[in-house]
Amino acid sequence: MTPTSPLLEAVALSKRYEDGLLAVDAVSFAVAPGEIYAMLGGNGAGKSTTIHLFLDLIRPTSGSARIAGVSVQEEPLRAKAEVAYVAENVELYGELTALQNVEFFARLAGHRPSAGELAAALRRVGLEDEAHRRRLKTFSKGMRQKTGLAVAILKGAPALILDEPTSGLDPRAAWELGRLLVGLRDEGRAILMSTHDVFRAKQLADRVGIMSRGRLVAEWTRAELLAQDLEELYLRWVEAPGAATGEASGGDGSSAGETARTEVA
Amino acid sequence: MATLSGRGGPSWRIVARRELLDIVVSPKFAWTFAVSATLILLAFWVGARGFLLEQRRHEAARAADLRQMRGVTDWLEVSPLVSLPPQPLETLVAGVANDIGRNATVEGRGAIATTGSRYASEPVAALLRVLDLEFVFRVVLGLFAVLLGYDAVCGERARGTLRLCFAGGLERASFLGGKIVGALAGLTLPLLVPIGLGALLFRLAGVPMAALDWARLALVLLAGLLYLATLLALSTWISALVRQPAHAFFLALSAWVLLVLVTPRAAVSLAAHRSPVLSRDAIAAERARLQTEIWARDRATFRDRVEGILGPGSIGGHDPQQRMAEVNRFIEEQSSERERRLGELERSLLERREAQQKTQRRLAFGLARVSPAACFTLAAAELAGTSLALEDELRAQLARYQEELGRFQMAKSGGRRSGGGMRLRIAIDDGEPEAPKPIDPAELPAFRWQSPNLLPALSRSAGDLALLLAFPLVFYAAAFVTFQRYDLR
Amino acid sequence: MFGTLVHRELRGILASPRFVATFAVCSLLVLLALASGTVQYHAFQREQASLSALTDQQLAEQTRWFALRPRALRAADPLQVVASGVHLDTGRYSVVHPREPVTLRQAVYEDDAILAVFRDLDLGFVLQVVVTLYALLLTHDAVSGERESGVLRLVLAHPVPRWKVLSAKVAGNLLGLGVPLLVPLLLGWLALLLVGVPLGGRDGLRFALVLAAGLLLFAFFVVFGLMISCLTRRPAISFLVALAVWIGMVLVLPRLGLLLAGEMVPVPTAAEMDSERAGIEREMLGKEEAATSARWVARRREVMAQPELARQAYEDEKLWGWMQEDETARQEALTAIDAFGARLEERVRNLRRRQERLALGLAAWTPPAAFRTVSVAVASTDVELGARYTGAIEAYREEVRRFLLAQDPAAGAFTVRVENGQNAVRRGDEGTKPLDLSGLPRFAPPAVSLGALLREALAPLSLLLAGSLAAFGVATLAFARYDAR
Repeated sequence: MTPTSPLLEAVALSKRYEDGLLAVDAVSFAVAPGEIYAMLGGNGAGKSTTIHLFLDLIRPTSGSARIAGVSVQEEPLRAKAEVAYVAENVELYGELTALQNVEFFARLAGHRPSAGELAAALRRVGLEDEAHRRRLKTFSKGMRQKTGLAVAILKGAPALILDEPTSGLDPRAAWELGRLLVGLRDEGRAILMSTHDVFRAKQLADRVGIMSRGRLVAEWTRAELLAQDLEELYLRWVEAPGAATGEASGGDGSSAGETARTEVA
Repeated sequence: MATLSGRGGPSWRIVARRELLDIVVSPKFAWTFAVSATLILLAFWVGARGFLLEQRRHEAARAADLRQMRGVTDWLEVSPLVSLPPQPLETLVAGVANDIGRNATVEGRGAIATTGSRYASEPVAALLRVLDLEFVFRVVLGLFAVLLGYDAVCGERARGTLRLCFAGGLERASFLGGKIVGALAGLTLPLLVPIGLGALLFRLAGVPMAALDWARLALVLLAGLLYLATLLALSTWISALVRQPAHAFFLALSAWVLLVLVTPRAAVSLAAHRSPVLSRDAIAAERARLQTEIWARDRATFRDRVEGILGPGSIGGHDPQQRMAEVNRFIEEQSSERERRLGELERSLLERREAQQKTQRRLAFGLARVSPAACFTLAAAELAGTSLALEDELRAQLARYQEELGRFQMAKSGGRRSGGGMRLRIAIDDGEPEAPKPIDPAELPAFRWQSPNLLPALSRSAGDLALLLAFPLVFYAAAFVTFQRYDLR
Repeated sequence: MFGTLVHRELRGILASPRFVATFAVCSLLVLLALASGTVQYHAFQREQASLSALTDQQLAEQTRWFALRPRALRAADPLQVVASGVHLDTGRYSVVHPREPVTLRQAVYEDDAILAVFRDLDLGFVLQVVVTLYALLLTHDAVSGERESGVLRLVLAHPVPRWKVLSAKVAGNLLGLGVPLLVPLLLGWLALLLVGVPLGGRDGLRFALVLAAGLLLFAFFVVFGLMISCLTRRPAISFLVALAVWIGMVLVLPRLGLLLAGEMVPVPTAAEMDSERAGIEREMLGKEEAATSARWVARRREVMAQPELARQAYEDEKLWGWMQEDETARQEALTAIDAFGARLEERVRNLRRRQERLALGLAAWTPPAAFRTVSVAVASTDVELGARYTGAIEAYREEVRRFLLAQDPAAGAFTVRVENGQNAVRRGDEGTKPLDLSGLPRFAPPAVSLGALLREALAPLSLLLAGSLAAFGVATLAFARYDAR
């Protein structure tokens, strides 16, 4: 492990719902600055739940999540200042333009960027100038994802959490996103991303954690992975879809399965 | 719907069945059905109790009127207070039944003034308004019809099932037709249950319903179902016009607000005043003016004549009874002549008023009929017997009763009638004062309200019923046309 | 931070097509309602004026004092444009004569039943029914919609406390929806002034009060819609709940109030009263008859106690006194029966008033009803309208009665008396000159005290405010625990 203290840290994080389902079971990991950590797992493995625990969208049954040393559960506002979030299926505000959206979220983060800075951020993520003044509802999924990333970049937080960032993107868009993430990592940010895209994980991640049924069942560094076939490892450590605890939802990510859980609860 | 034989064969039936199932198992349906059923049953129950209460009041009022006639000795001093008895259906379709004056004090002749509107004497009821079946259909069920139809097309598109439906070679017409049939069935068939129960409840509560009344009720309900079909058709059309369900919903709801809540009121409110009608006050004023004129002249004539009959220099030897009889005859002749002239004037003014009213109604209601809700309200009131025709009918029957009363009074008093002229107290001092016998109120002819025939009401409401049939057809046709060019993706 | 949130909320509202649609429809309806009210107001004014002229003409033609039947007319009030209340259901005038009871006759809806078919479109209706529906439509998915789209997660991932997010939503919605509502209202006010509806000065204050109540009602529904949004997860559910609440509060409860009050406070029907009265009558007269019989028995004995020859004389002497006694006793019994009847009527009157108050009260605890209470109270078209006028007219009748008595104590009548064998004719004195009416008192409609109106409006306005605050409180609590995923 790197000698610098981790920016994102899960300490025996557990979440049990009212109906008894153990969505996250004593998960512990850490992400250091300048590192991309990929959480791999099937639907319902607990990836999104873990992320939601980091963002104080739900409270853990036990354990804690820490961002830049600050406990998310005890000081949520301070912790949130240190992390930027890119959700899956980024919607943002449909009636507002791309510029208006990023400006709003930047202000929410406490910054007052100039028009130039906003445009620069949008350009950095690959949105051309003529798209800046169009309303979000006219954007394709890829463009919306990029805008979401621009929001995250403008926040200027040291940590970055992405939930299934490449799902639904065509190969080119996914590759561009990967490039951006690598750039951000080289700037020194700690990046936590959940995905079930094995290839992208192999391509981008410095470390990979495999989640299955709420538990972190395996964790390898890039070096350790080079020698092995990640796919084979995945299939070995992750149960077949039918036996998984999550519902067989059609590829839209584990969040759907977990969300369905809470509705029952 | 029977003309829906698409080239795609029976596939519309499949769509219809699925639509029906979809609707019936949805939480939206459960909730709207619960509310509708409750309100329908409530309307019937409230209606029954209201009717029985009104009936008791009506009978008590008649008894009280008869009682206060006791001890009266002169038939000419008796002016019965008659009132329109409660109609079984007026608690289900209020119409104008609570607004018009239902009572009248009738004299042997003269103008009849109706008073005693229910809302005028019970302002709380006027402010809070009644929960009748017409309201439940027009407002609540209408809203539900809109809710059921607004995402017929765009909802399926949003869910992605539209593409799937047409992937298998379904005809557009079949799809839409099936959706329509299914939605109509889902909306109307379940409603038959609370309606049937409610009607049964109504009868069991003790409301006397003749076969004619049941026929009227059935027709009102038919009009209601046509109205619901109209709103369903409109919202289905809107769902084919717009792509996003949220927008379709908003548009459909706005249409509901404008058509159901606003247009009828606005149309009548604004148009009624543009078509002036001679007011009853003006007619009364004209009549009073003529009456004063004639009266002044008649008074002079009367004095001279009576002096001639009874004064010095008159024919001696006639007994007082005969002379009195002659005075009576003269008074009656004068009164009749006066009444005839006044009656003529009033009749011509009333005719003018009626003609103006017809024009006014045509303008105001014509404008209002843009809204299917207005067509429904008008048709329902007409069929239930609580439309404006009720007022006209009441006046006509009161006039007939007045004739009857006048004849009765003339027979009893030797040729005189009460009302419309001088009150003459003629005392005959004939030695031994003979105590006059009190009248027997039971002899007085009673006012019997004849429930009007169904046929005239049917013909008056035929136009509205036709419109209620045409509206859904037009909207569905529009929906078909719009759907032909709908982007299915 | 707060400003940023509010600013974005406003932007989102103003840019959405449904806001534009709402604004258009509501403006149209406000102006339409005011137009309709104005037409009604002018028509009422005209009718009252012509009735007044007719009355004056009829009075001038009279030649006998007690044949005078002046009319007391209800005044046209400019606030009737805004909230017609029971104005169109209440009689327009009453005939004033010492021997006739005061009853308001010929209400507008009674006379022109065509207007009653669909009833009235006044501003109060638009505010109470339409504007509230749109308030719910626009806010019911403010929170649940953002949850469904996912943007709520993103906002909450920022270092901003939840209560701020919610408050900003409330403030943004109130501003973004309330201010545009103000535009057609103020424009309408201006238009009313231009077409000659006197809404300045004190009446202007009353109008402002009604508008304020309307805006408060609107604010309540905005906050309430947001509250529902915080209590539900999906906009579709939010909407159904909001619609259910709207139907219940605005359409159904007022009518149910009447129904329930009728059940809870049953007023005896006239039939029941009559039978009660008849029973008492029978009882009392029966007692009186029995007493009379007893007295006659005693009297018989008295007479028999006299020596036989003196009995007739004794009876003749006593007879008159005895008949007086009997008459007095009978009168007493009749007086008692009348008193009982009066008490019975009083009881029924009180019961009816209790029922009325209950009906209004049951419905009045909902904000739409509170608004209606304020608007009709301020416009003086509440359920007491008839009673107020009746009271004032009765006082006027007393004035007229005293005036008439001062003029001519004898009510003239034309009598003919034919006497047996004498052929004499007598005539009553009827006079032929028109009367000098300059001294006849004129009816002044009951005055509207602004202070009294304010006092009446205070409770419902407080209810509206309290309701909004309560909804805000619930929304804040719900949002604090809201699952934004």
